[in-house]
Amino acid sequence: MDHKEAIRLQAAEKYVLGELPVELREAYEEHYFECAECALEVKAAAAFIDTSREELQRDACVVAQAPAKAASKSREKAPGGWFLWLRPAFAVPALAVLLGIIGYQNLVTLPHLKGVARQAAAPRVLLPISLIAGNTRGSELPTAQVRPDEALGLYVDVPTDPAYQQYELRLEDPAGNSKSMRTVSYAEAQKTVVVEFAPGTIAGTYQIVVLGLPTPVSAKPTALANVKFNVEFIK
Amino acid sequence: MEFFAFDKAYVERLRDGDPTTEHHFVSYFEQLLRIKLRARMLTSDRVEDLRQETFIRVIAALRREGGVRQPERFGAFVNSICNNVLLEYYRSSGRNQQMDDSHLETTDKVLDLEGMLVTKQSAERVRQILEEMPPRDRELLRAIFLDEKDKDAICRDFGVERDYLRVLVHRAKDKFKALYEKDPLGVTRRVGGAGV
Repeated sequence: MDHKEAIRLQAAEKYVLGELPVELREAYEEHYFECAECALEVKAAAAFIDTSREELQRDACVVAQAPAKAASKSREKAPGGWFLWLRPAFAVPALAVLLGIIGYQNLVTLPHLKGVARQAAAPRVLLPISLIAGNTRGSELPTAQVRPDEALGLYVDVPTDPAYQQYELRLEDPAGNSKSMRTVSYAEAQKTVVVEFAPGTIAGTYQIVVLGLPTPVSAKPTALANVKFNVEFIK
Repeated sequence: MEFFAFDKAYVERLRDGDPTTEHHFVSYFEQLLRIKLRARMLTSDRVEDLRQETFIRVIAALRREGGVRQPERFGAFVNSICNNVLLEYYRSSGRNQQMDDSHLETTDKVLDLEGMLVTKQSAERVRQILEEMPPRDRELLRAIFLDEKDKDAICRDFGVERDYLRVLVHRAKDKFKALYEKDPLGVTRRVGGAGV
């Protein structure tokens, strides 16, 4: 099959729709492995179908939830002997329990939750760190200034390598302790990755290490990049 | 659109382990191999195994004397290595002759990459393309991509011919291609000094 024939046959569309007879399929494959233009056509067609399937499936789930919600509302109107529960033998103890629960929630639970919400709504320090830039530009390390026990968000650009389909981001603290923060796929690593962690009360120089995870998983991970940054506490 | 040609210099750089060339080789053929192997209705795990095997054998052939006799047909060479890997897989999987022949039939099944090629960027662009479509066309694609029904039956239900479906996919693919050309999943890089 040559290029003109591939275009004439609409080979890319037929190929991804599974409509090419075997001989033509194999001939087209031999062609698109050699022809950059047809390779682009088939990649774009495949990517479009792959992505469309995901999007249309997601829309189908959203649409399916709507009738389910309507059905649950109708069940709440079920008739029944509710008046039986109003007899004093049941009602008095039930009301006492309810009063106890309401009292606990108002005096204990809600104040605690409000405090947590206030903390969560407080501005967070977000420190963008690019692993591509690394620490190569001058000796000054990026510095994050946070309050003690406040969470820190790091924006990390993972240097991807097609040899690795999975990447692990590990954090080393000033004491040299290392822990895994996130594992991302090759596709996820195409975009900036956010790593959130709380320095606690430990200030000093931290390090993010990006490891390429080979397959099989028994093989040793490869360190692809690392970047250091400082954490300082403010009052 | 950037084009390049596989040539003797490219093959030599790849054989010598030039990192840029290696990166290009993997990123360029990775998707093509995935698409080819998934067109055989193989599972994702099997696709990855056979893809890896293909890469390993191509590199091994490069390093043998006379391993790649026609550098200008390097793409066809990679395809033929993949075909050999596939044949060996079919034989070793213990299928009988009848089942071996089944992969020679036209599947009439839409290629399913199980989200391998989905990125946030592509999702946004596809969403836009789908929203711009008339609702009937969108529903036709939904039926074709998500339902297990025969495509001819779906086309009959919608009152369209198979050609209509093909043209629909063609137009949508062309709209999508503009984004794809600009940054095909961020994996394609220009080969430095490759006579591009």
